[in-house]
Amino acid sequence: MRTEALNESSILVRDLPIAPWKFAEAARRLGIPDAVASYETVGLFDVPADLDLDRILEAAQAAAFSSRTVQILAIYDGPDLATAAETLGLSPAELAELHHGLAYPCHAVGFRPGFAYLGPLPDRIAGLPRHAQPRTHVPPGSIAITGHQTAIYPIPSPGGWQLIGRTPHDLSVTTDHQLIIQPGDLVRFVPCSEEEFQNQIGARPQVLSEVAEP
Amino acid sequence: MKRPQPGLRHLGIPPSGPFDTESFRILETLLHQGHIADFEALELANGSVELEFTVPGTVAIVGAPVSVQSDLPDCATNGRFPVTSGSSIRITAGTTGLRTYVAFTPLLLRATRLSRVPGSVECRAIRVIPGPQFGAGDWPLESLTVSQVQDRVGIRCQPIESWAHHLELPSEPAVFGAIQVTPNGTPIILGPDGPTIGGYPKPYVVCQADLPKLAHLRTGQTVRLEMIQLETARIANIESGQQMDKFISELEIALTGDFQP
Repeated sequence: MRTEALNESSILVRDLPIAPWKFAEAARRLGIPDAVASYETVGLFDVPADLDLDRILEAAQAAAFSSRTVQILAIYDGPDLATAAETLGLSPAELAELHHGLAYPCHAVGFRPGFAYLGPLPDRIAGLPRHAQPRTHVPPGSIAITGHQTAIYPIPSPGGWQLIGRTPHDLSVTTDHQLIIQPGDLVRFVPCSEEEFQNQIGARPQVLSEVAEP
Repeated sequence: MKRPQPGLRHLGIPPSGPFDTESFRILETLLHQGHIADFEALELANGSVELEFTVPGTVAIVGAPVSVQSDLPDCATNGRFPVTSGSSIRITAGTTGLRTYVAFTPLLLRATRLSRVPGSVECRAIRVIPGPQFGAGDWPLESLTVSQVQDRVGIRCQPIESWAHHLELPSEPAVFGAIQVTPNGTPIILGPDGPTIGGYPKPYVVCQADLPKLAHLRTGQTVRLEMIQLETARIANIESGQQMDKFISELEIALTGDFQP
């Protein structure tokens, strides 16, 4: 493990020997209020300079974490679908098929409330850059890809990813601060008809199973 | 607008809170003795507003100077004044600074005008420390010019040609004040409602002592970046905190007796 300053009172932890989300959750269980995981790093906010990282790591390695599968209905007709497919040398239908052919683990939640970082994408649809100028408004429910990552925008926000589709589900954080997609969950995209889409607008997605992982 | 609420970043919810925490704290002190957890104020960003009062009380205005039109005496920025039931005031944005804080209490307090405020309203330079991607590219220190696209999420600046890059990085946790750079070299200074995780490289981070200054950057304004080291920034943060504490305790002493029932 290695740390860097995010600012004068917050640190970024790199080279973790465990999934960052497990480390962050263990840190929160130990009373650090703001511990945020991303793909390879954890941010610890407003922490003392002499913070004991090894103690957090030991707690994370000893802890049990739950894991679920979340099913996301999807229509692949995003404004960037055609150009993204062309860049990848695929048809839009092929891009869509490759996208929903795999279930993706959630590595982190952040950027905006409830925004779940999923991946990695299959190699054939990976590697697209972010837009050089991010959109100032991306509608909620937009399904997006960039690099090896995929995600769904849960609320209206700016965004630089390639928009390839949409889901009818409400993925915003609940009023009692529960996440619909949590780090450690497995997310599966399921293509649906426009009729199914209309019927599911605003509905929370189906959670298929919950298994305790030792 | 309430004080920042930490502890929700893992849900993607930033602590938020006032952009200019110093003005907010002065405002709170003018209307209340001691700190109250759920103190609320309006944060006006270059905005104009008309307020009508249905009960008597006291209004305080702190931050970027505004003009206040009213039949009531003593109305001014950086002070407080009593209002009567049925009265109204019209606040019109000024041209210096950007954010003004307004709050009301049903307490009847004597009019007070502050002659001096340790504000950050006028700013030509901002101190930065090296950010997580400082070493990942070449980021010559340049002045930033604020674009029209700016809000509490982030302040987008004019692109800096020499900051253009092709870095594609895994997203990382981010802080209020981090300067993210898009591939075409556009710096975005993250605000109090900014993303908790960001994927663009962050070569610089605004030092915590200078965060309130960001609240007052106007479209078209240019600010110089001054690089300082982390230890210097820590000392600057402690010093500005002490100065603010001193100002607040002197203000509290000056207002002693005003908060009797």
